[in-house]
Amino acid sequence: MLTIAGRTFKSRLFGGTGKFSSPLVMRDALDASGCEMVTVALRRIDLDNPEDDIMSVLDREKFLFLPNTSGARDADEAIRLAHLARAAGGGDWLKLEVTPDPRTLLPDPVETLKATEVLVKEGFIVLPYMNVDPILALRLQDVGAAAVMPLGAPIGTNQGVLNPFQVEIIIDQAQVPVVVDAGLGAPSHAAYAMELGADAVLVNTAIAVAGDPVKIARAFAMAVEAGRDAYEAGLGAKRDQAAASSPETGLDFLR
Amino acid sequence: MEIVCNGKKKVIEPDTRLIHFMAELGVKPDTVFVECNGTVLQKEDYDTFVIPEGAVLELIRFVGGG
Repeated sequence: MLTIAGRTFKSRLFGGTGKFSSPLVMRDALDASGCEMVTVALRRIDLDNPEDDIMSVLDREKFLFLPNTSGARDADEAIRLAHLARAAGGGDWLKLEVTPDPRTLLPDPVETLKATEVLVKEGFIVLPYMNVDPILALRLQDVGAAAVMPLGAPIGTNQGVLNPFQVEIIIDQAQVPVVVDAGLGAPSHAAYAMELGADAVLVNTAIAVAGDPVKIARAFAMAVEAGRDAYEAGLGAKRDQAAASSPETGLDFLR
Repeated sequence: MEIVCNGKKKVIEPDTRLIHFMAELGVKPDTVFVECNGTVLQKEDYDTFVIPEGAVLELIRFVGGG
């Protein structure tokens, strides 16, 4: 069972709520995924369309909301969004995201560390989205991050785990759970992240934009379980040379 | 008097309460949170909060995101 900041989760798949074609598709996909924690964003109400409230379909008894600070370009903006999320009844859980460059949406390590430090002191349960940087993961852990969330690939790119070598180092060193977040485009990517030893994965785009979001949500759920089982089972070591699976002896009768 | 709400100028009557302003906009208060001049308001104050002249209001809610 996965535990983050004292809370246990049966599912190691966390869901996003963006980009779905409709609120009902989102609800059904999240139900099919089995996830218990979902990310949400904070935005101004569109005064020309104030009824557009997709969150009304989500049962907050069923899902723990993980408000994100998406759109924040520095620590100050992220902290302001965190305060708003808390005031909105979003609780203390926070996916900290500081992405100053709209082209790459890569997280700013300096501002992320700065904001984590401030928000942890204010009592937030901070899960920072970060680049695949083992040193930064340790620094974030040191200042009190409840988990670290290295990216698989840039947000929305569906490219999978581009730097498994450093993801493994982060997992090896971490005292807090490691959640591979962003860029996982297929259930096989999620399974791979779990086989590396990730404690959980967070998937949004790949589910939301799939031809059948409900079906792929189920596929992601199975892949995450499969990957976790494989990790716990212990994978066979990689070798440079072939090694026969059948006995190499007992063939004397052929020769 | 004039205020700015979500980046747009609005003209409201003096002594307008936030709850009435939200009703006029068609915004349901239970899923909305409000910043006035940079300070977050508590939900229990929506009924009594009187919008000051020149206020900069932000009406914000949770939306889908990753």
